[in-house]
Amino acid sequence: MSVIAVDGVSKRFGAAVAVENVSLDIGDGEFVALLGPSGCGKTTLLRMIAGLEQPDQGRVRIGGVDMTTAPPYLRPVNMMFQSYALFPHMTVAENVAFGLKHDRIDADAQRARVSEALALLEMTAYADRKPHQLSGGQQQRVALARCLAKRPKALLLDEPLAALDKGLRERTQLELMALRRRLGIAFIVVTHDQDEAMTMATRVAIMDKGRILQSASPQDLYAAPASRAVAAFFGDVNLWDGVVTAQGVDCAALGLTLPVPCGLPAGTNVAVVLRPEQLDFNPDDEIAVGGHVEEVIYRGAVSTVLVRTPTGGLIRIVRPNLGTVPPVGERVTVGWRRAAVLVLP
Amino acid sequence: MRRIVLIAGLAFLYLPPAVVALYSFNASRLVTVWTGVSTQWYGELLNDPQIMRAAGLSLAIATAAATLATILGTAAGLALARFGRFRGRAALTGLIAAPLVMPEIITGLSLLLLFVAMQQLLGFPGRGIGTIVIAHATLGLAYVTVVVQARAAAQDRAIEEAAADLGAPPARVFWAVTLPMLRPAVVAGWLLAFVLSFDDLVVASFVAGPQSTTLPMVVFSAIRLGVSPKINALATLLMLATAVVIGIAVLLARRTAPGNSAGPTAAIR
Repeated sequence: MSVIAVDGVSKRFGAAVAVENVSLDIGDGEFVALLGPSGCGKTTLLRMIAGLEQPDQGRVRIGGVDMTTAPPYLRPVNMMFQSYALFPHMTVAENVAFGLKHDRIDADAQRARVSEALALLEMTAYADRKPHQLSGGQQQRVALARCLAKRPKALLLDEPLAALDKGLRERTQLELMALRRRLGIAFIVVTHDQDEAMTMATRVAIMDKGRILQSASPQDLYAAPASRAVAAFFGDVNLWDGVVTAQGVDCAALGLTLPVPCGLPAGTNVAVVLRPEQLDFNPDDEIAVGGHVEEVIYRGAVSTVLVRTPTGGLIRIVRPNLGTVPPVGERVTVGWRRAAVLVLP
Repeated sequence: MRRIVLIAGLAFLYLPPAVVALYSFNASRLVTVWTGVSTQWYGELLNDPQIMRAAGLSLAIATAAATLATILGTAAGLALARFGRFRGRAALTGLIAAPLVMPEIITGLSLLLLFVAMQQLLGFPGRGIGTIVIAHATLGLAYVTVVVQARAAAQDRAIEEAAADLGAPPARVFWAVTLPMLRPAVVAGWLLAFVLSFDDLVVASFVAGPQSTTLPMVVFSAIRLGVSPKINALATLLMLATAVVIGIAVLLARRTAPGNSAGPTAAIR
């Protein structure tokens, strides 16, 4: 059964549409990432689940109960804010205990919950500090502990890693994943970072201009994007314009007709998508195009090679650095299998 | 050169009160003739029942007016900082800012006309302590509003949202989170309103009744009969008290806005 069911929700701010007719079901224990550029409505959607915004249309159900108009303090979900929003005049322990005052449990149980939450986030030693005495990473742990002490049905996280430096960000990603597995509750995270979404989430909902373009596992999104926008936004990609012909798809950038069937009528404009790691410098492959190496971008384990075709198209190829990367200026032939080509409307 | 200008500026600002303070320790009965050091005027001051009664009254009025101004000003400051563009926002801003820019004599006169008209129509309020408190609260309200609004606008709204998200109904969010976070600004506003009321002569003169002579009014009427060294002593004590209260207000305001050494009180200077 879904913990959170968002059904046909829309939200406008004045003339600007923030969220438009969005539906999303989130199951128990899922780790869902709302991914999109800034202003795509992902934070507004999260805030509507938390009750901090009221949708203009549609319903929000939490744990099977319609909570569309319920105020935030009556909803069994908790949110970790981007700024962490700790209470500056309270100690760490008081921050964590704050939310328990309204749960009908006695003082001993409250204390136990606070210690349990602090222990879970390894912040027990800091219980008597004030937030301004903590580092950014520690403040985040307090914010998480404060949410989890409430034992929410789902944890909402607004850009949880944006304020952390790179090393801490990776560690926190792994910890959030471990935490979610341990607690078994749903996590919904808002992010603009596709690597973050790919790493942590069991499901990614890609948003743009207030709509969900596609919602699927990271693997499925990468291998089978539903549209040009999803392909362009999620993962490294070659994306060219093409026109369907009787023989296949005519791709002007490559100067050839790709012999791939797509079932669309001739003359239809389509997007041709090729993932860079599917390409190789192999002239004997099913499809091959000549060109010269314009740039090689070294990235440690792999290099990204940019090959310019005679018709002016640019091909991105990602190869492991095992001595097979050609130097800049060399004439090469790029080859790939027919099955690697995705044709999207 | 810069040093000379600085010293000249400071002298311009602080020499007159320094002279008053100095002469308060003068042994002579004549204010302008220095004959020796004495603290006798302070003693006489404390034994003057009229001045002590007026001082007590001024303290009581200032406390009541500052408290009233703080309650209303905090509400107004929060409304202006939080409610976005509501109907009547411009009118409210203008009304609250009016006492800041209006000549005190106009404020005093208009309040007097209002109170007289009200008394004729409603039989209420009779001029006296009550009307002074109301008038001073109106003045102080402006200062409290500005200080609280600056603080509230700088506050991260997410903190109150987090409180609501954690299960606190609106009333608890206000008492447990919003107000404690505004506390330095509220206290600073109260102190400013207190000083404003305690120092005020013009408005109080208009709205006072026969039995409600405040300390500045006593000082003013005493000076009209010739400057007494006793008044110098009183002025020195008043300056000292005012400086301490303003100092506390500025310190609190500074703590209010870390990283902004001027603090919200700079906005009203």
